[in-house]
Amino acid sequence: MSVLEIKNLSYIYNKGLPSETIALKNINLSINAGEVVGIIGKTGSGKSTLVQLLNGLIEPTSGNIHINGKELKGKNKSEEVCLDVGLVFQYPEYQLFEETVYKDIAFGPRNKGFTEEKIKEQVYNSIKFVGLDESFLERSPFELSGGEKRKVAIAGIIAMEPSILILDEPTAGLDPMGREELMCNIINYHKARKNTVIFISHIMEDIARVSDRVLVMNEGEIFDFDTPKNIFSRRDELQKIGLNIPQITKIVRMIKEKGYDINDKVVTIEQGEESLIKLIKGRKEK
Amino acid sequence: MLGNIVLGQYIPGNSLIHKLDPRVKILLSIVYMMALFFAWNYLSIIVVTLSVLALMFLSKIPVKLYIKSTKVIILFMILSAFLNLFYGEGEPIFKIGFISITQQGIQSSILVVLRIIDLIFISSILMFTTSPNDITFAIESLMKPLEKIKVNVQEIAMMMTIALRFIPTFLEETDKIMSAQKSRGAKFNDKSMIKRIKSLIPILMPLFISAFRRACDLALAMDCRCYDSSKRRTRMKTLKIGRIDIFAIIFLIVLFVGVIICSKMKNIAII
Ligand SMILES: Nc1ncnc2c1ncn2[C@@H]1O[C@H](COP(=O)(O)OP(=O)(O)OP(=O)(O)O)[C@@H](O)[C@H]1O
Ligand SMILES: [Mg+2]
Repeated sequence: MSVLEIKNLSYIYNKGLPSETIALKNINLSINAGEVVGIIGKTGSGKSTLVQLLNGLIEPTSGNIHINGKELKGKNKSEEVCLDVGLVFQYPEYQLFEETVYKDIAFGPRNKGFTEEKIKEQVYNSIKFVGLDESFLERSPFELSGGEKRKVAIAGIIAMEPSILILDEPTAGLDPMGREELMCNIINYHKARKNTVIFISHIMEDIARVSDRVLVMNEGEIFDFDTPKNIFSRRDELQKIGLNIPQITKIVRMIKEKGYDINDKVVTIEQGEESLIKLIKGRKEK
Repeated sequence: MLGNIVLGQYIPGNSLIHKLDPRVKILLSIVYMMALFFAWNYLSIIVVTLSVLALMFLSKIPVKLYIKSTKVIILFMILSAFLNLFYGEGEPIFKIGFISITQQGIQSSILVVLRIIDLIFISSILMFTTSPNDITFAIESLMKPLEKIKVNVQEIAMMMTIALRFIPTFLEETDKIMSAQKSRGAKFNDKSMIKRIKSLIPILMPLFISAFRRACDLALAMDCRCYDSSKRRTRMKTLKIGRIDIFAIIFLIVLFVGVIICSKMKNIAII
């Protein structure tokens, strides 16, 4: 069943002004419950605009969006439906405002009307999910490092138990360890709750590793929406629209181009390893 | 949503009005406002209004935006029209109880509304067609004589430039923070006043923090480049009075004199 249906969606910024920008053109999209969708596309291709439309922050210029069968419009827009879509903004650090991390994470759940008990449980669960120590809960969010702030901000959204979690470039500006940790946490979170996750990233390896399907955006339009394997087999076309393929896919491709018989439908390190071992074993037997 | 604030927003373009020297534009706007002050009868206000409409047309900016900018004070406009309507002297043409409406009352309320609209249009033309930087540059240049009495004009101009420069940034940032808090379920339109004030905290806190951070960063960056406000410096762009500016000045002088003459022509009723 699809949790998210988008029909003929278009969005124009500053309509009627000289600075008018068409950000999205006639988008049609359907995302299934429990799916992990990665969104890629070069800077300015409309990714952030798309996800902001999904949680009702901005209204479509034309077209409509259905979430769990309900249209995102009018009365629905302001309340439950929107809060069911948790959006972690690009650079979410600036949304922190409370005296302590605990209070800040509790802000969303409280607005959603959870009981104090439930809020507490949610706060503790979500801080663990993002990989921070419980001792952080008593600290002021303003004396944390950039990466820690990012994690607290993400925890603040996760604590609201959204049925669709959207992350806009969650790993931008984090160190390799932090990035790795965050990606693992997102995967674990998805495994534990089985809810829909949509995330935007410029790192093809991350996209390949976690997504069931990949949405490729180009200049406000959907270029393709398919499994990572199919998407990343279109290297030349991707490169034309300013994107790339994962390193491992490149390596395996190069080996194949040298004339070796290797399975090049590979997008993650694990799959690459498998293909390589198969190739080596096959050669040994000969 | 904050993008709706039109007042004080520069819209790039290269119309005749855009090309005018900002100093000339500022001075001319002041002259225009003075002309409005003298326009006390229909004829003179019509002359002014028509010329303002012509300038609006020349600026090549959508009329919609001009109309939008009047919305801010529409209440004020209605109020002054109302008051003027009842305070006219002379023969009443309409009377209910102690309320009477005179010919003069009608005239002055029409005049007042037209004047306010013209006033807004004039300032809108100036703000829409002149970049904030040009405005401060022009003000700095116009304030030059004050240096004689030891006023640090450059410092004032720099402060103005910085303040103007950061207005859009803060609006954008407020928008971003509001969106982020909204997606965490924050409500900004609660019925109760106290709750409403409380709901501002999640916006104001991050905004202040980022404002202070920005101020510190900027001060540091200026220090790093050895900025010293007492040093004389040159500009990348220099202002020059060109041919259009001369034309504009002549046009304005003619208009100003015309308005004064028109306003002296007592009650040549054209309506
Ligand atoms: N607030 C805004 N006002 C006007 N135009 C905007 C605004 N936000 C985005 N745009 C324009 O809309 C287009 C899409 O922007 P969007 O932020 O969705 O891109 P993106 O794919 O998220 O890029 P990035 O990878 O850099 O985050 C861009 O051309 C951008 O200039
Ligand atoms: Mg973006």
